[in-house]
Amino acid sequence: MTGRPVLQVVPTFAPRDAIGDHARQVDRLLKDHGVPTAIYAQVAVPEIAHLARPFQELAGKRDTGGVLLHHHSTGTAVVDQLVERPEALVIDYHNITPAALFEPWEPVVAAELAWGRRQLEVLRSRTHAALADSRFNALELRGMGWTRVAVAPIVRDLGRVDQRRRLPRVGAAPELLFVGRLSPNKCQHDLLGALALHRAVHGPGARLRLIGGASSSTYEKALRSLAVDLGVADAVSFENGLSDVELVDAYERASAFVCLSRHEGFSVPVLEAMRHGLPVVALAAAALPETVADGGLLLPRGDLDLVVAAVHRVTSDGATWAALSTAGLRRAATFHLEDARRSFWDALQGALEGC
Amino acid sequence: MTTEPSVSRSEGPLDLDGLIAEVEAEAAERRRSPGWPIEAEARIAEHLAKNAPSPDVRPTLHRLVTAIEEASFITIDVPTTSSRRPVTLLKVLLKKALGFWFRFLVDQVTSLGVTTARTVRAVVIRIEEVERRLDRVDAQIPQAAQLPAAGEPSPALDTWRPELVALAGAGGGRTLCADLQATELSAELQAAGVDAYGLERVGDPFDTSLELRHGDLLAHLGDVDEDALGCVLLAGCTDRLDGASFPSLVRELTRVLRPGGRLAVAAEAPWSWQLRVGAVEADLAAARPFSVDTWLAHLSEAGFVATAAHAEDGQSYLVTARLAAT
Repeated sequence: MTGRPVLQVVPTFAPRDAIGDHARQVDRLLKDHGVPTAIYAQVAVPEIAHLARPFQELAGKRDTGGVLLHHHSTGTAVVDQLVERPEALVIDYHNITPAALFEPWEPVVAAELAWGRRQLEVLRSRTHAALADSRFNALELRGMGWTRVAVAPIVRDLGRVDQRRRLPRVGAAPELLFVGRLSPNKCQHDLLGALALHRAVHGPGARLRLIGGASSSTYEKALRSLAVDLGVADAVSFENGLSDVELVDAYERASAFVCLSRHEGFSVPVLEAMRHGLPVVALAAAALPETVADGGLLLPRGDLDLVVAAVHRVTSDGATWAALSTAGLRRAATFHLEDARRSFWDALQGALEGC
Repeated sequence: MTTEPSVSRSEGPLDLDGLIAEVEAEAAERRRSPGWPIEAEARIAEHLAKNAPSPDVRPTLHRLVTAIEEASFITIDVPTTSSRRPVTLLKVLLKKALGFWFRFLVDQVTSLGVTTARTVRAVVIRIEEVERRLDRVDAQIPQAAQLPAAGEPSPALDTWRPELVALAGAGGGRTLCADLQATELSAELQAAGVDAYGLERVGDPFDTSLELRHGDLLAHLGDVDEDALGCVLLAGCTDRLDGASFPSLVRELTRVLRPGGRLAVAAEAPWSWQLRVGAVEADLAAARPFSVDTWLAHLSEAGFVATAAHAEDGQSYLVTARLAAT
């Protein structure tokens, strides 16, 4: 490490958010290594605003003499200012959802996402190195011509992985769970379709819990309307603002975690599900194969009949449930906080070489 | 740069690949059974389609402008209720005392919102005008629309399929088959035990399965590691090449194939293509099939040992090449 301050820049700093939580862990990591550091946020949610400084404060300084670590996940005016600054710049790339997935629902968000990708071109010529929190994300940057890219994991405390074997939660009334914002790329509409088909094929016992706030109010409205049209409104719950305890309870009670996302840069909820011994059924898309690996059932296609067959198998066959639960626990155990801290630290040091 | 994600999924006590195969077989069997709820499935598809948004975002942009306008008219009717009556009274008092100041601020905010909405509306209208002009331009060049689309089946693939299949797996590494009907061809090869994957130009760009990729051939090769492939089968996708990208394609093929690696190019003969699309369209086309000679010359220069064969009807040819061991 150069001994210079490492100043993190997070455009939107929020609690219970993958990037916000990661930035806080990185802040702690840097402080533990004696590196002067601070988090600068353009927008900070009041609950944790005291942990960050306003970005305007950084913008007002001519040269901090440090290194700027920018967390990039969408288009932001922050980038326009960062590229003009004299400090060495490193980005931590969390991926950007393809704008096409948002375009019909939220054109404003889509424009921001497209802007974010265009900003990567500007950042490429200005940035010293890039960190990417998955191999998928690193490949994407390399595909755009970035040369100094290292995979540095999300630093997140999943808590101790409780390796005790669970009793299979199988039966005629499975409770399916998905945790993630209501967002077109996460394809909750396919989950609703799968639920409807599951109930048509295997009886009306299955239920679905969708936990997470909405990234798109239009999409949320369409999902609620779709649930009514499909006749599953009574079998679906849209939940938001759960406490940590309530979320753990959701993982512990569910029969399976089903993820049909078309685009994920990493997916922390998948890891959390595995950490709670909850079998994971996921579409093999984007970074999900890398996150799930051998800890869950990866579907090669999102066809609803295949999804239903997979979910039915997992939630009706105790041996399969138990085997997937164990596989998930084993996989989650590889995401140990200390390992992630060490890997991130090594990657960051490598990225800062020659700064 | 790198090739496919190398996640091993067959190790460990749980045979995930076997489990997926069982689930796929079960799904197929259920679908064939008389009890399969065809009507329910159709209804689900219908409702999914019904609730999908319109691909035309213009109405949404107009709604966006309307939303800005509506949000501009903020209220000064501050809530004054409280569980404690003295607090309520205080709030009412403050509301009355500060009303003139609130109105002063509100007028400015509303003015800002309305001005912003007018500006955004002007931008939307300009965009619509540009789109309308583009539509007219598209309508004026019908010959472009009549050209064979990328991804359209080529006669070359059917003619040379046995030779392509026989060559797959040669070279000792993974086989890439691109582009036309790559799904079908790669599936056939996979079923025959060949470590193969497909690449199609058209299709779902977000599908990142390991067995079938979507995207441009040259861009894909750029993401593949040096010496990563043993065999590359190009069928039909080279029917629309342009002179500018051809040297890059040969250079990338040379890079991704390991020494001794095999290449096969099945393509439509230029004269056949010209007859098919018509002289005018062929003359105006920005891309076309290349002749055998061009392939042989460039491949030889790049270090391949290349040979060619022509179909009996002369409509297509097959170039096969081996990258010389270094």
